[in-house]
Amino acid sequence: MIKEHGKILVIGGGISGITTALEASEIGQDVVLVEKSPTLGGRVSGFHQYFPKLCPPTCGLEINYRRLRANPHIQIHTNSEVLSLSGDAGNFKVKIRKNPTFVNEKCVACDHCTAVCPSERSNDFNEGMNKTKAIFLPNNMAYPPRYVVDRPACEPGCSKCVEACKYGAIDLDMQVEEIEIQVASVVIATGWKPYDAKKLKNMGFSSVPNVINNIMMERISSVSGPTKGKILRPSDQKPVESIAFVQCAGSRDENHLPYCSSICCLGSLKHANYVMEQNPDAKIYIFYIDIRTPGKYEDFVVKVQAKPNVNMIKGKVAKITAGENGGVLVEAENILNLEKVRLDVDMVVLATGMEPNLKGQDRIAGIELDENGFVPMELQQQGIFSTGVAKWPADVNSSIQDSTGAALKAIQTSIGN
Amino acid sequence: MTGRVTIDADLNFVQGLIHHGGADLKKCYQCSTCTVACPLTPDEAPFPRKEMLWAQWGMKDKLVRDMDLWLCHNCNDCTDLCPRGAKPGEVMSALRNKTIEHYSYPAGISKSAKTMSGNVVLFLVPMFLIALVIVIQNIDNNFAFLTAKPIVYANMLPVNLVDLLFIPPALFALFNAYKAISSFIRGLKEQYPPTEKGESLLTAINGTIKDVLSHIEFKKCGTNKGRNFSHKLMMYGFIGLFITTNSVFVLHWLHEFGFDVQTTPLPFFHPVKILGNVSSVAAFAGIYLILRDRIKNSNETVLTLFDWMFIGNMFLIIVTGILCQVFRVGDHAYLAFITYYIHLVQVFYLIAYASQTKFGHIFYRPAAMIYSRYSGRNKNIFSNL
Repeated sequence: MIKEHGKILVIGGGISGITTALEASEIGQDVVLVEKSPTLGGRVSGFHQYFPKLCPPTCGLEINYRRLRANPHIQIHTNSEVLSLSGDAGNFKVKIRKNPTFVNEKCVACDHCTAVCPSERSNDFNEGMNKTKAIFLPNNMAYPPRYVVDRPACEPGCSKCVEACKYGAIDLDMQVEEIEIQVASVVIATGWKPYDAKKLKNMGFSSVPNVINNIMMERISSVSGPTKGKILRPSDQKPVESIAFVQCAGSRDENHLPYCSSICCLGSLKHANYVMEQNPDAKIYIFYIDIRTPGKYEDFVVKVQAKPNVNMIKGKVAKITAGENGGVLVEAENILNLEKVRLDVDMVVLATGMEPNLKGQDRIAGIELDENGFVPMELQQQGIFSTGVAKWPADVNSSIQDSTGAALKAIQTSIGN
Repeated sequence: MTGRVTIDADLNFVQGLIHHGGADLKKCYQCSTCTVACPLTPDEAPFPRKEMLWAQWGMKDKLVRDMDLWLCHNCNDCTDLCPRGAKPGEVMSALRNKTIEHYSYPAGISKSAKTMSGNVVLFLVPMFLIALVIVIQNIDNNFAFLTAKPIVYANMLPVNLVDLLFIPPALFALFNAYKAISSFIRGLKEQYPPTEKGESLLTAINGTIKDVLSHIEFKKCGTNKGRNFSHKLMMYGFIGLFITTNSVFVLHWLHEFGFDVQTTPLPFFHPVKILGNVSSVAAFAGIYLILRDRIKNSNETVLTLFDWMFIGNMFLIIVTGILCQVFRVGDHAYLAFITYYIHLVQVFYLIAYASQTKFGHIFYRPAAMIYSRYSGRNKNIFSNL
């Protein structure tokens, strides 16, 4: 349909990047999609369920992957990084480094390699709560569905997986490759990570057992997670009978993230549902400053709040210490009845805020971020667009809508270049 | 909490707070991190979150009758963790200053202590009075005390005259303190009627004295934990100096009445002299440490003129006191007498306006601490909030 036009570079292969790439390419626009990790899917692939329909990530990602497979206009570079970006709207030079996964496209994910692999590594997909072999499938719905070798985790000189692979898919000598491409416009969809809760000195994260963050809660609740979806507390695998959610763990705090991350309240309400689905008798406490559920989610709060074992307490938890028998002691003021509350619960979930992945990094040279690490809107004039949480804190739904808009903007810049 | 509550908002009070140390109070969004961070607050109706709200709304009546302001020892653990930079520790401090101003008797002196021009007037009184007495005393002998050897301060101003100059302002101060504290306690009683959980008055007084002497509350502080030591040094230093001054007074009058006791200048190894010197070194070390920490943390703490006048006054009393002895022993007559004059003016300021300046905390804080024990500080009393 579109004849003379330049390519679009989409940086980041999460739900926002995938959406942008698909929306643009399905009208015939050429798109280059670069993803840092070995698989597409980003944060969404790690959720147990996600808004608005509370479906598992498979339902949303699968349809997108099918669209990707059928699409001749998208070139995907996973395990790759954008090293530099120079030029102007219509004419960018981009340097991309393709890091080796040591497994090529011949891989059929038969899993014979893991059986012989002698080494283990911390599983970052499960937030380090379990281990994988040094050769591993990034997650159960990885795209491309291909294994990866974590070379530093390998035993020196070991090549057992190479011998075990019937397809000749493993190449431990695979080298870094650098390519240079020309694009007309850029969409940044680099997403976010949970704020490092270790920086919250009074929250006991990593010093008090059974204090986890909200992403760990997603993994613990997910069937593909370390507990196969059973909500057990990490220290002794005891089923969780009481749980406290600590809102604004890092967000709305000038010492940490000065903005509201907008999704954490809904996240904790959703987590309350996870717990209730497994154990309707579990005691659930949600400590909040203000419950914020932007958009049309108001009824969700009302629904969760009406549950008999859900207790919403107005007052921020500001002290977390070890409780009795592996429990966790949380302390807050219940503002509505002017009393300090101390609760000993089985597990505490810190509703950590969203920190943009780009913050503190100059991976993409020439791009100036705002003071919080988000991509500023002003870059639009230069043909650089942003979407999803790279731009501002947002949920999946609005990120997808935003990405469709970003695709249109990028196409407009590409036409005629 | 049921029923209708009418809020009597005093917006001038809020403005006053903002301009006198509580500049960031409106940033507070009531998360109550401060209350959890506070190592001193009771569990029931804890502080300082509720005070932050009252301050934002201008609920002056609640605040000036709030004993919790005085249970706070400015640890600043709250300010440290505050996610908004609202500095609750500083707001509490500003509120205490406001309370002193509110109950000040006569009303004007505390207001004067808040402004530069007011302080000039407050200082002119002792400067003029003391100078006048010195002139009257020495004009006939052409100020011979300046050249007499050895240097004897009593040559310039005999002890009788010193007593004459200082006893009236001391009585004036005590009377004013009594007036202020009795209406303060009346306020506390209205807001927190005593409950059956309270201690007897005697037990409460006894417990408070122990708490103050041991600095048990200061010891619980996290962020400002150094102040436990520096404030204790200064407090004991000043208690020592208070005892020294009164001993000299007693010795002098015993001597006047014909008893065979030593009078000033006391020899170096006289027990009273030793007490005086040890106390002044302790007080100096204390005030030095406090000043150092205040300056070091100047981005966190807000110091108003009201605070500076008090710290400066304490500092000058100690420094001039020590220098008096140094110049006397070193035989620098002019320096010695000028320093002594400054010392007397500073001491006059401290004593005469005791209940209206920040020094007034020595009345308000123990009163509130005693009352909190006596009333049994209970959350039920907040049912009218």
